[in-house]
Amino acid sequence: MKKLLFAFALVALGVAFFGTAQAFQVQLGVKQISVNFTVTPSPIAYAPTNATGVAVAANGATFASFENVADYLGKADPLASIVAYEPMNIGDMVAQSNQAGVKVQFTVKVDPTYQYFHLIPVNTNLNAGYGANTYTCSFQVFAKYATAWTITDYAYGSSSSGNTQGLGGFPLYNYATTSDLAWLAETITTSYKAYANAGSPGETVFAGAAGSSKTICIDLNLSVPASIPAGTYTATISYRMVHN
Amino acid sequence: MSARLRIAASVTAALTLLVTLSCARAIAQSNGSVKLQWKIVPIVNLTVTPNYQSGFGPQGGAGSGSTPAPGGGASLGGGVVDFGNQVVQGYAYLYKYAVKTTVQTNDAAGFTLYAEGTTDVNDLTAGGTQPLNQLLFWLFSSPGNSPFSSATPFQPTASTVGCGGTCINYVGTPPPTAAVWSYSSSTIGQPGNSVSQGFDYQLRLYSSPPPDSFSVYIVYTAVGN
Repeated sequence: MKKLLFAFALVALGVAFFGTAQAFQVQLGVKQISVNFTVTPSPIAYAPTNATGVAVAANGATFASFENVADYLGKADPLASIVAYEPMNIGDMVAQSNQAGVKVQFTVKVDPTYQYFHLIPVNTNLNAGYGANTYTCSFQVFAKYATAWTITDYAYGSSSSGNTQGLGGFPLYNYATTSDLAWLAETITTSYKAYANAGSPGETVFAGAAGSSKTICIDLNLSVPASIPAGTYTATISYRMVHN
Repeated sequence: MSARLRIAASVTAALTLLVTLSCARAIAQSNGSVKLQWKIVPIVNLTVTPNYQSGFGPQGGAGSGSTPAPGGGASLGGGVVDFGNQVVQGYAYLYKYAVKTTVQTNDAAGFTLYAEGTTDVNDLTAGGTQPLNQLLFWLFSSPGNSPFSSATPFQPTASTVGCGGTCINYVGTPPPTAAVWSYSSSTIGQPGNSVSQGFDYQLRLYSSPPPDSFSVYIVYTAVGN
């Protein structure tokens, strides 16, 4: 019985200790950033052919009697076979257009925590091919405080154009599927690490001593599986600053 | 009868004979045919309705300490897309039911709708501009949309701007990157002989623009396919 009471006391002491340790850290702010990835199929070199079999060279010139660019390039005097083409008959073009517009306006309010903690987008509209893609300094994280501080992150969510992948899909997914988006904090870390996607508080990105200020570039690495259809995907990442 | 009268009488007789012969010739060929050719010019009519549904306005900014609300420039079915003055640096917002576009066309191949800004986002307080493609995004209206849904940035036009900043003078069609909606058949026969698409807007203030007032004009252009 004494042993059991002792064990309970130990557990209670532990809870009290860690609870106190948590209380020492104060959350200063939470900021999110969204990064757009437009996934397109890999470019394929080809020589498009029109309906009558006239080959079109890669530079757009039209040639007769060549079924492909290789044939064209093999000729001694390829330009001798250029076919005169009929310019487009402007009189047949009857397309009309119509315009209307809308004004968008807003007044920005100051973020009271901006001077201590904010994100700086550098390039957050990114193109991606299938396989691995690397982006240097997609955005920056700025942090500064009078006491020691820490920046953590976690995957806030994914979305896709047309909702083809659902909210928990590519590229960040939900735990326990590993995120296809990884990060590297320049000058802090040396290898890419998949974004933590098991919720808050996530993982430590970097920290600073009392009174210090840091602006850190975040590099991204996106792996696009072949099963993902072309489209636009948005990854939102949440950053949190706590200080002692 | 004078010589002049005789000449006049002869001319009159000759004209009468000519008219008679012409009529006879016309009657003889009355079973001929005529081939008519014409072109129907495709008609494309576009209507843009801001704040098109009850419940329009901004939402989001969780954790910022401010609750966004539509500004005074917005009204149901009209006005401007006004995010108001409670949007905070560093946060993202979704403007529900920002714009409805309605297109009527007899073009059997349908139409493509494009949208571009006439400029980057104008800082009305301090002057200068902020990059439009980092601040304002569009997505089709859907109940599940959020400030973090996948959305496409608006781009500032590379073409010349007219109409006092409210229209864009394209040479040819607008760039493919500006396409926001495509419809592949005539709208004749559809309800109202037209089709509509609603758009929500996202305002991403991640770049923490200065605490100023901003505006930009978005131009929609419908082009027959």
